[in-house]
Amino acid sequence: MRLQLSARAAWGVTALIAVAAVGSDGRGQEPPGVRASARTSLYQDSDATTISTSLVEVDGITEGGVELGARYLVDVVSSASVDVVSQATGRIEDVRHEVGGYGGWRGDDVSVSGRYAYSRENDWQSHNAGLRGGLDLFGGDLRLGASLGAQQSTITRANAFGFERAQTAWLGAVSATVRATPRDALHAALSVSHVTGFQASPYRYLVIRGLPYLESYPEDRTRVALLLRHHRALGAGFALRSHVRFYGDTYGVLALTGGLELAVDRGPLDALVFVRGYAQRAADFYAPRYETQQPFLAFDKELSTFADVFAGGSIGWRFDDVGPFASLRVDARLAGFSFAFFDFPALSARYGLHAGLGVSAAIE
Amino acid sequence: MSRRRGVIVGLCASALVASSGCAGTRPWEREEHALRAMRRTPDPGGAALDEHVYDSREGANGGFEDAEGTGCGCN
Repeated sequence: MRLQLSARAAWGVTALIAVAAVGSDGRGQEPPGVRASARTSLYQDSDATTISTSLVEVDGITEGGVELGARYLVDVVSSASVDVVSQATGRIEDVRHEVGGYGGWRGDDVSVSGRYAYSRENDWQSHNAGLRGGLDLFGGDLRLGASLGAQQSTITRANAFGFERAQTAWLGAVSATVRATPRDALHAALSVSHVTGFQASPYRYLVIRGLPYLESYPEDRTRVALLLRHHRALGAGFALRSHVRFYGDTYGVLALTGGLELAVDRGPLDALVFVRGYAQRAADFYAPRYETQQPFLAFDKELSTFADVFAGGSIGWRFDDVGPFASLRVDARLAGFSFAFFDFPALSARYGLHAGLGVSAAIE
Repeated sequence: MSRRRGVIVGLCASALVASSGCAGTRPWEREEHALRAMRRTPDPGGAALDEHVYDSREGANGGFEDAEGTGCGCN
């Protein structure tokens, strides 16, 4: 992948967080049985970038609480964004494959699980593993979780020999979820990650006084995020959901994320509308232009000062007792987005759409 | 961590602990919490792909769950 290697590192850490996800209630409420799902999404933005993502998952849980699951994901990227133009390589096409699996056990009040995933593309491969545990207290009114994860990545250059860099990431996370009242649920999650090794792009060069310099970032980055959620049941199947996230890292990036969602669950129908906003301050070493060579150089809009807004919704419908399936659910999602870059000279704005379709089936 | 951020973190933690210690629900009061709309992520698969977009286009990440994957897949 020739673009946005720092974002790539970020995604790696996200994977750790996924590994470290604690006390997730998504599967825990599912009855014993096997589920399979397929999902595809399409991203298109005004910066000449198209990304298609397809995901297939199979998971199951026994009467005894033993869980097993596997997944395969593929990303197909086509881009001629300003990052590509800056590399003078024209439009690029990339494909990323990822396979993963997990196993675990859920008791009445305790759950433990482990997860592994392997990802490969033309210039990047990674191994990702993690462990997590959850504990329910006070009849489930308080759910605690803790987790650890690690990722080892190798970065090369497409169609070039002799360039190979390593990156290692570690993550720890704790979370707590509280059923505070019959209508209110509160959730807090604190995650700390540390990434060491190569985190810049092996492709992007900056031209300073006529001379090209390869991007260079600090090799250590510690990131801290605190997420707070509040869900309020409104009655008649409706819920108002809000969240805020505070983020900071040793690059100097500070960010605030906030979101508001209205969700409904009425019989076979579920739907959600949302708006989400994000704003960040640039990394300390980021500059729109460099007049002289610096220890660290960045041509990366994800390290600049910018803000974005996403808004959209999803709708799902569940069919019961369809052929061999106990239930079958289909859903569709659509979101529009807009970015405003305040100090990135090559791009001042970006907007686009992100759409998805999914189907999942359960056999009990 | 600056003093201001430390205060914010402390207040949030205190609120969470306080709410867990003096409130809660009885089993017959949990019907609303069982709704899909009240789950942390009503649609984990779809949310994972949304998080994929956010995390590859924003400088921050962490805190959210149910996004899975490795490598990049970013543009």
